[in-house]
Amino acid sequence: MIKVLLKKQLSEIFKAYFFDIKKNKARSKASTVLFILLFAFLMIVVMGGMFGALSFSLSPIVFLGYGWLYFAIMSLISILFGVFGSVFSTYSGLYLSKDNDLLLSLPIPVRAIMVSRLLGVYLMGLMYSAVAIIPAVVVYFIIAPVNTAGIIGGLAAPITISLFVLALSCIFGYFVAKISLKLKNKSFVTVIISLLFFAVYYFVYFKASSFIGEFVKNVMVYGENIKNKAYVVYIIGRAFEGDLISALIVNAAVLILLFLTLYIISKSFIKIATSTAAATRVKYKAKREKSHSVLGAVTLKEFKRFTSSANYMLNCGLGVIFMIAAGIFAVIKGESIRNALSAQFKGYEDLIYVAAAALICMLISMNDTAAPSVSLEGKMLWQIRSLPVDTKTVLKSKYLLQMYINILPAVFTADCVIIALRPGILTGVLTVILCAAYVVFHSLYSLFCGLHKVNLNWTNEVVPIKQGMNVVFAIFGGWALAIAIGLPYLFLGTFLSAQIYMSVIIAMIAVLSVLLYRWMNTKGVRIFEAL
Amino acid sequence: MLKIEHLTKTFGDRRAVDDLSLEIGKGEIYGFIGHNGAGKTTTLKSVCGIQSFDEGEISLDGVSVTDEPIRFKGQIAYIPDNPDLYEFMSGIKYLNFIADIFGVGESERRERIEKYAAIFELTDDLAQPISAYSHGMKQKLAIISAWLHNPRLIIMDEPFVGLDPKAAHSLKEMMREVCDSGGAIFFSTHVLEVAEKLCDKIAIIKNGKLIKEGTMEQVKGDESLEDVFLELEAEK
Repeated sequence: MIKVLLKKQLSEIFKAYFFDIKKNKARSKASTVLFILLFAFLMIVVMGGMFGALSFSLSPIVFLGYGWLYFAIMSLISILFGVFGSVFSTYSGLYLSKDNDLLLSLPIPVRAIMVSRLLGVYLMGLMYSAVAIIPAVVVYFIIAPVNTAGIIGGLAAPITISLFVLALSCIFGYFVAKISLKLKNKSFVTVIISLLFFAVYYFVYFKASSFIGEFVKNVMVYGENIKNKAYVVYIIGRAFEGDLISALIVNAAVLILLFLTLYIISKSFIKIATSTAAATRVKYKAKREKSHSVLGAVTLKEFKRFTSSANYMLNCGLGVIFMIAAGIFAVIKGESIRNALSAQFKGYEDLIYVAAAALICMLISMNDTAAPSVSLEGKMLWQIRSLPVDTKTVLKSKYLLQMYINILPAVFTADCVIIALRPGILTGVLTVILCAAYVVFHSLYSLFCGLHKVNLNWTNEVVPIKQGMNVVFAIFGGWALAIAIGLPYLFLGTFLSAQIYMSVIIAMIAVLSVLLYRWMNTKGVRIFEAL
Repeated sequence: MLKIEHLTKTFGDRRAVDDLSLEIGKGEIYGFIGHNGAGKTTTLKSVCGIQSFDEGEISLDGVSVTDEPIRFKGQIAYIPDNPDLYEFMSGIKYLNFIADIFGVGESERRERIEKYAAIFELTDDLAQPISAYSHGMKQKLAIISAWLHNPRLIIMDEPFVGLDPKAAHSLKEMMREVCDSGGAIFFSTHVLEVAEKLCDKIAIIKNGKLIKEGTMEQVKGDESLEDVFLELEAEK
């Protein structure tokens, strides 16, 4: 029984490598090989290289006799990476699988369903934790003299850690499932948690080298403190360094934790997997509902679609946060930025102003709500098509939403940059106009991309939001244009002032916008109506 | 009222609807029956302007669905076989969205929402997100939204699927009320007993072609509708 389920689970996990969901046909062998090689490159070379470099930077502590601390730190990083990589798939894989009802209705023991589901979670955790711990083990084997026990301890590290990651992922997944059954504004909570995670990630990323430097310098103090106050950490490090007793204790503890977790989950699996109760039921109380114009109603509908999905907000609206953060940063650090840039570009200040405007345009390009908006209609397309709404109005609502989302942050950031760089009134005004014009252009351009690469047959909204060519063209095309706005001035700066150059760019963006607008109301309408 | 003339729609090599013509008058409940894949949904989608067609003409009191789609759609309401509604909205937000599109005034919409939500016992659930609704609740919400703007013609694809007996009974009464006040209903169904009891006129479609059409008496005579349908289906 488990074998059959495992086969089904494995084919599901690796389906993307062999089957093109969008085209609904099997991939060619070359495409499959390329896909696998690309993924292997990303995981082994990029991620593995990153953790390999981190391991090398920690290697001095091995020479000081703190090999256990080296393993303890790298194990902790590996566990964190593994858990973050697999915790979300634990929740969705265990409790949200669409075939849960089907499998539970068949004569299959719950334990067998769980084991097959957890295999996917385990593989995910193993993959993410392994790209961190394997480079650490390899680096250790290269730099330290190791005996047989050391080799066994090092080789056992990925397996022990992956099992621990599985246990932790199950525990977190269990609590995520419990909480999500009671959560009301799931999408906003997810966005906030994700933003916090990004903030912590970037904070750690930028502080990592100074933290490691400080740690290596004072390793004896930290090492002794950890050994005295957190003996468990010492045992874990010793286990992977090759100490037999420590290895036995650690592995036994991991196995006990894993079995206990699985036991608890199996007891509550059916209850959670079959529960559909979302938030507390709110009883409707009649109240005055404000009416809207047709354009207002469809634009509001687009806005609700945007705010109802954490995926949509994070992937197509994150640039708003970056824009505001960049603006605030520019104001706070205004003087030092100004001084540094003035020293570097003395006599070429105009170049700074043009480059700043181009950078804001790049940030604007990150917000592309209009690009997936057509595909997101999906199976609900019949509604807007059966209602007495002009297609021009439908398309207008889609690009208007993107304009509304971008315009205020873009103007705010442009103002902040003006405050920071003090370019003079005319250049400042032109910077604001250029950014605002770019918002209009990019909104129309995103919908242009969205109308060219429509995919209405998705089962997961992430496909049109994140994985479609519509989004790729909208963002990267936007970036390319933003670069094209700034780059020529490197050569033209000696002949043209920033004011003249920006005026020309604004005129060009306006012309492009008008052309796109006309296309939208003719060809765009025809494409949408033919869907 | 509704006139379909020589409607033809092809998908690749297959003729889903083949030279279909029919007319629905004021006050008529018009049933549309046929086997799976006969062309019922394609016809209904063409009538409400969702689906383009290759040949033919569809008009409502002289207003063409192809020439004046917005004016045409403003007078009808459509309920599909599977109500995929905007799940990111609550029930009440959805109804207000539909009312906004049809320009229903605030007092009328409140009155109608209260009336029909009470009929379908959905009032307490209107604040819930549609994603939390069962299939039957979504169907009820789709029906309420279709009745919000007093349409002249209501087009429904399998409207009784998923409805509980009480709601199905209420829907039948509402359909009759629409016709009594000068409107018309055009709906498809596989439940022949319902069609037999409810419809004034009926059309049977087979492989995209209209094979029988007329008043209930003209179509079935002394036989049951089921017997007539099975006989026609058996003919090559």
